[in-house]
Amino acid sequence: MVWMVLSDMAGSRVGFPYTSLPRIEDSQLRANLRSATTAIREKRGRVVAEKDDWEELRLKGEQIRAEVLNNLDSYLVKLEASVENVGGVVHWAGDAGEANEIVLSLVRQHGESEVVKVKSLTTDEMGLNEYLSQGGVMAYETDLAELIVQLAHDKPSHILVPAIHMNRSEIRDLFQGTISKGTALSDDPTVLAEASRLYLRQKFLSAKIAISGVNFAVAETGTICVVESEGNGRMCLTLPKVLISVMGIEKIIPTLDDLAVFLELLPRSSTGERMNPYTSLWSGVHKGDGPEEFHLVIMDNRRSAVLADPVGRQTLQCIRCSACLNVCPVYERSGGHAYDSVYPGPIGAILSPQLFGTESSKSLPWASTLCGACYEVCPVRINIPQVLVHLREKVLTEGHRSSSERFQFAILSAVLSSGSRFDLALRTISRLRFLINRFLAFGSLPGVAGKWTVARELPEIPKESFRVWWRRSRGQ
Amino acid sequence: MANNHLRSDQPSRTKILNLVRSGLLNKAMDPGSSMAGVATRGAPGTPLWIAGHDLETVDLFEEVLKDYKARVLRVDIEGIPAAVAEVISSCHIKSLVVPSGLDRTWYEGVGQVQLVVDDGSGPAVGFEKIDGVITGCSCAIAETGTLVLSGRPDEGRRAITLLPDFHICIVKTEAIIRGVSELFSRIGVSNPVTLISGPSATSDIELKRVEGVHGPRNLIVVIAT
Ligand code: SF4
Repeated sequence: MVWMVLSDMAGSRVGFPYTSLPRIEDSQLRANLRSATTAIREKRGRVVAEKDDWEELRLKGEQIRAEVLNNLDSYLVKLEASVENVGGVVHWAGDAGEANEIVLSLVRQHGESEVVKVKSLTTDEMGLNEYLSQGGVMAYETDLAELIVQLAHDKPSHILVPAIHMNRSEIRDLFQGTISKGTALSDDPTVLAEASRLYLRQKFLSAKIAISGVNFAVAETGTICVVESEGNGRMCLTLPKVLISVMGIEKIIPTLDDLAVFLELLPRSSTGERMNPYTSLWSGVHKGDGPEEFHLVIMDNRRSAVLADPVGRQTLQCIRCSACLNVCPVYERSGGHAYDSVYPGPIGAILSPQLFGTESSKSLPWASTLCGACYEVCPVRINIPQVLVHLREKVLTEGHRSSSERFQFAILSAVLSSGSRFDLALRTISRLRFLINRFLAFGSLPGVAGKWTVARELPEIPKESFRVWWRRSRGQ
Repeated sequence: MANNHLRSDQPSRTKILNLVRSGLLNKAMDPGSSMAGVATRGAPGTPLWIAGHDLETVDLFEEVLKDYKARVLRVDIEGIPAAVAEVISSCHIKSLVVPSGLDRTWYEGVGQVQLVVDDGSGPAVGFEKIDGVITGCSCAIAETGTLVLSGRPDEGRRAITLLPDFHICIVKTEAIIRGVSELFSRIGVSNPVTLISGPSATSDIELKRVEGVHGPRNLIVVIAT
């Protein structure tokens, strides 16, 4: 069955089977990933077990998010009115390009060439940092892991711990070559965190403009919520004069009491904490406390198309907790970079193809064993396996079947639809087993079939098939 | 600012809302019944934390705080000034900022300390040079060990609890609720709200927890009955 994707990708060599290959062969990366995901999984398990109403909370989470999505137009209008009512300015962006333009022009209006940033997947999706830098504006990431990734000119590999693929000595070397030039650092994480504190403090105190994402936007009150651990978020949200927050159209929560549900679901699912160290809530501008100007950029960027798909819609319930990454056997072995998208792991496998529709993202619905572990942990009960299967079907029916693939399926259906033909096929394979096993010993089958074995192991072909053995040993 | 920014200037607003509306003509697979206001406020005192079921709310709060590596002191209301003085001297705090609405008797006896009383006027500069801050607390959540600051006069503006390295927070027992679901029955959001659960922390390097990155690296909670 996997052949269909492989033949689909024939010639282009793009997509998950190829991007994951070097990662799977990197044993250091696999070890880092395994210990990291195991640690977060265990922490999550402990704090979730403390809540005897956890399943009830998940149900509420799902219902609240579904309610918002099913009535998104009215919630968007309501949010806009509430934010304006408390002194914020609302901007609408149809796509990433427009959102980038809005942010850059706001920065230019204030004559600034530097901004500080709070970690935000939405702005990563937009490619905001690159866009700003082309426009002559330097965006400083202030989350420790994002800073590490930015300094290393690398890409995040996990939603929550973007530098999960780097170990402490790699980070020490990086800091010594960049923000702590001329200082001898040890590889103790405490020392490394201190180095970033010193470097960023000056930036926080001098920055005039901050850019953040949005975890939740409360329609009823126009309140924006950002959760974080380090305090860099609080710095950005409190000290600069101008605050620009960017959100996807789906990030709305109806009321404050609904928000409370997510303040329970998110930290326990995400970092495995009862509560993350800092949560900031603000409603527009507050005289004498924090920014004097607040801009909220609401971006679609194909989310409305995801909304229109009856099965795919639930993808937008996601609160970006990353619990699904940490339980995924595919993610644990391939890491975030293999997904070649801002959104990795199971959520990435369903979100990326719907949002971006690129050639490489079309292979992602197959980057799963459909084991369902992601569905079990998802705090808003997104049925990820269901969406994966739905997207596989979509990719294949939207004209992505090559003629060689149709040929393969014609043969397959001819063989499988007749007992005697199936029997013959098994016998033939058994007879050819010396040849096949010889190829396998070299690591790969020849020709088209070799694409299947490129990332998989085929078991040795036995001398006789089960059917033959059964008949022989029963004396029939 | 909002005046020269008209909705009609934004063709994308109409475009997005139209796309959303036409997308919603396709009904979601499980037709979700309208569930507005699904969340309900938990009944105060409902035991939720399995491991802490048998603990009184205040004791649970203390346990969870200690788990975060916060320092916790339990005193009577009359014992607050002495507890504050003890913390100031044992932490070698030489300069202090307090919000103007904080009970003065709590910090008047702290001795030789440079004191700034902030009434929220003027720019938020210079707080980074101050060692510590003392605040009250509108509400605290036992199950999660969370301090909730909501800009009341005894809590002050956000910058004062952000830049100094020591945060001493005085929590009266009547401010402590059991779980997060009760939160918004206690506080409003007309001022900025900050939820603080333990000192600032990062686990970004090999998932090893490091206490203290940008916010105060030391959190001292005085629980007063
Ligand atoms: S899909 Fe669910 S588990 Fe995965 S990040 Fe989103 S909310 Fe979390």
